[in-house]
Amino acid sequence: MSSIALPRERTRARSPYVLGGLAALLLAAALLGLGCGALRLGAGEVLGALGRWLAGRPAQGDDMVVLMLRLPRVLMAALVGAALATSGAAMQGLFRNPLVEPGLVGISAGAALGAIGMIVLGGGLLAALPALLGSFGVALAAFGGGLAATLLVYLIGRLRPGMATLLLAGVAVNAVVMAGVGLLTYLATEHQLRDLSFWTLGSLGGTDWVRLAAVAPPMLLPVLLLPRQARALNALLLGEHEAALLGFDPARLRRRLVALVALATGAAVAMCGVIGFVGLLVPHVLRLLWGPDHRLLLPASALAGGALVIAADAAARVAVAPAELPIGVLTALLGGPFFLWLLLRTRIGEAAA
Amino acid sequence: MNPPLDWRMDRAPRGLLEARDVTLDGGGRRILQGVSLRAWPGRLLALVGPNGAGKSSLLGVLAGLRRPSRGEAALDGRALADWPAPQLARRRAMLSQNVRLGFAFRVEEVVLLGRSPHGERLRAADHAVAAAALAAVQAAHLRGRSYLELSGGEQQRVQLARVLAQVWNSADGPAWLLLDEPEAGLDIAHQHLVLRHARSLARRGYGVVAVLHDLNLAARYADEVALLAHGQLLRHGSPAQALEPATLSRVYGLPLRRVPLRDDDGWLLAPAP
Amino acid sequence: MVALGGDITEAVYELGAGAALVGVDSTSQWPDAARKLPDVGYVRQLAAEGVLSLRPSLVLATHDAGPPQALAQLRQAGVRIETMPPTRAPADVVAKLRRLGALLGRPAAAERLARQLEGEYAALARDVAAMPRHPRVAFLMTAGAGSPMAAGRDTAADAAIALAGGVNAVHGYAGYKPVSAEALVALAPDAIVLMRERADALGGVDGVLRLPGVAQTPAGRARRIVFVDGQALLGFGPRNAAQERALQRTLAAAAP
Repeated sequence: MSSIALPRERTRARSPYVLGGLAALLLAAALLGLGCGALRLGAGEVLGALGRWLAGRPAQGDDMVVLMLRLPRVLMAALVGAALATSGAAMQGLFRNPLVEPGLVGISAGAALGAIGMIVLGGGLLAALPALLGSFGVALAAFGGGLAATLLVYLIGRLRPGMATLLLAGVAVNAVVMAGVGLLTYLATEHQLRDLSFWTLGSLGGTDWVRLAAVAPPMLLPVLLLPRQARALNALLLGEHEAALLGFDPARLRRRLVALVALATGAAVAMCGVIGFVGLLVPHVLRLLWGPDHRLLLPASALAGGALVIAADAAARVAVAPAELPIGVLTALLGGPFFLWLLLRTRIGEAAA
Repeated sequence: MNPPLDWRMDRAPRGLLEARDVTLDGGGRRILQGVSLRAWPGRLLALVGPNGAGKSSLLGVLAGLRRPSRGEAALDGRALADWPAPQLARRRAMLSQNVRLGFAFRVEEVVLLGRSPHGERLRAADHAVAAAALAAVQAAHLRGRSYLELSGGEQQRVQLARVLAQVWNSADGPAWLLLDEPEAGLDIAHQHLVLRHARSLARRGYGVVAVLHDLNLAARYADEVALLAHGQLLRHGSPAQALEPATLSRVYGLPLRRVPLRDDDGWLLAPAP
Repeated sequence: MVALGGDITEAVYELGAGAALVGVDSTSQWPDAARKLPDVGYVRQLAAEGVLSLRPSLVLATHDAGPPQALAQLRQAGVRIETMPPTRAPADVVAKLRRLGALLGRPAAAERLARQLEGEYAALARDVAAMPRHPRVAFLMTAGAGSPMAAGRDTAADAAIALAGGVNAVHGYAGYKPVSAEALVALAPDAIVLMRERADALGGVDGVLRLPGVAQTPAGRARRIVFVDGQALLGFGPRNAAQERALQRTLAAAAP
């Protein structure tokens, strides 16, 4: 990075502008998300539908598509993106490693195991439930699996002090859980395998107001609460001892962060499958642009993550219309090369230092 | 320009930092054995001793970072374990060895991290403190640079500025600076700069405890020297008392003698011929 | 009208209602005309808006079309969805056809086709009854890279083999599972059935014979490698009967 003369008190002065700009970006993405889809609707129709809805007037024409299909989906995308990106930023800060994903503490793998276990082994249970409730059964199993895996990682990580143990516990639990996923994949039927691909590739398909309402609280709460840990996270970047010397409690901070991240990511993965790279990519780009200060990074990640997932989902909906691409394919397609670039860039940076 | 230091020196008994019969175990071995040590504000105390003597561990105990297996450390006569963490953080700051910061904060942001214990939001006063702390370590010109672009020595000075900023202008009583090898990685000019500054802070009422490897720096700048070996406190006194060549020779396993300086009444420690 | 499921699409075309289709799912590969229609994606991962964008008044769906939320959203949008029950027996295949005929307003054509299929299934049953011996059959869904996936109990392939007078050699497990070369030899199938869609990739009969273990089976020694039209046979749509009869004839001729 070139050294340029920076204006005085950059972060403080810039924060409102950065957050305002990102909020505008999120709004623009939301309008884009509402405006495009397999069904071609003019801007007038979309805005008209929203207007009639807000004014409480009866729906007409294709209003239902905008209000029942696109609007909950755009809101879900915003929430999922915000949850994943904020969680990613927090995890990267906690582990003092910009290459960490929220899945590192076992959440994604655990959720996938829960979902897949329910799909493959819970057939009888699911069949006993009404179809709509059955799909919630899978989400609930995913949520439970994510929290259980995270708890396991956390408990193992507590056996010895330090972030390294937590990190290694995450790697180990992930490996074991993925072996379980492999075993279940082996047991799965052809049809179940197709359902499983949903979990590994992610999709916002099937979002409706009920599902949105069900997962909004566990995603929104961490997005709103994580920024309150920003100062502690900043201090933690210096190291656990330094954070403790500055009056923070690293153990309590770690407990809180892991709980909030597990809640947010678990809910996101449970409802929409594994949407990769958002948690890695968004905080990283923002850090390159505006520095690592978590007081700006966490809320900015929420806004930018929401905008990114809305845009990716819109692309997933129109790319092969009337069919849909799994959104994870798009984010990985974007994220893979970026990750590589990041890796190379980091190496070069280390060599120069 | 430094903001004025406004604590009142007439409350002298306040501010005493002490280790009371501290024993520390860790990693299956005894690190410190029954160490009792009193450090007074207004003085620079150097902890010296061979590698593995327990100097850094003792500093960690005095900072409240490590809890002794037996005994306790206390500030103002109150055990460190009983202090609320943020309140303690406003009274003592510690510079650890090798603080690794892998994120591209600007230098001023790093120094402002030291102001964390002083309130949720940064105020103009905090920025003034950060600027003064940077100036104190002759690093004011680095303020807008990215921390990752700095040389090792520059990073060390910025970390020292952060630690200074943490207890700058402490209002609740004499503040403590605990420095773990503050001279490490610095060139000779900056080594002397840092220790001269540490001593001038002591003159202005700060308590300073520094782990020093260089016995001659300790002899030159410290008001008191504590010599540790094998987790025990061997000597504590003026540099002339504590840095006694026969004891040092035994402790370090290297024959040492004092070489008088011609133009000064001081001396240097050097290996005996 | 949108058809979801290869068997449904086949029936719609066989009943002469293909012109009314505005979209199909990705499993609808026959006839060629169906492949030119907009594709709404995999039948179990439908997107409500994608289907809606084709503005269908009626959606004919196979039993495992989904996910349920997408179907619920379609119903909410006022689209009529008719879901067909799963079929793996001749009577069900014919019943499904009659029901589709009624829904499409073509009961006469459906009745004609149903009678014809009933005749074919009856002939098939006679031929099977006349077989002196029922050969052991292994149905390999995929082969080539890694161990081949063989169809076990409770699969469409298992039902199709039984209907054609064969005995599924793979009865130790349910569903599709990889079998090792050794296991394949131990199963000792008299015939190995594969999907014609994969024939070229495998290198035809000779390619299959080169797969590990195949040459050591009775099927391999006698070169009894059979390629079938997978969708027509396993979809249990209107083309199933003809495929079953062709398979039966091959198995009868191949009987050791």
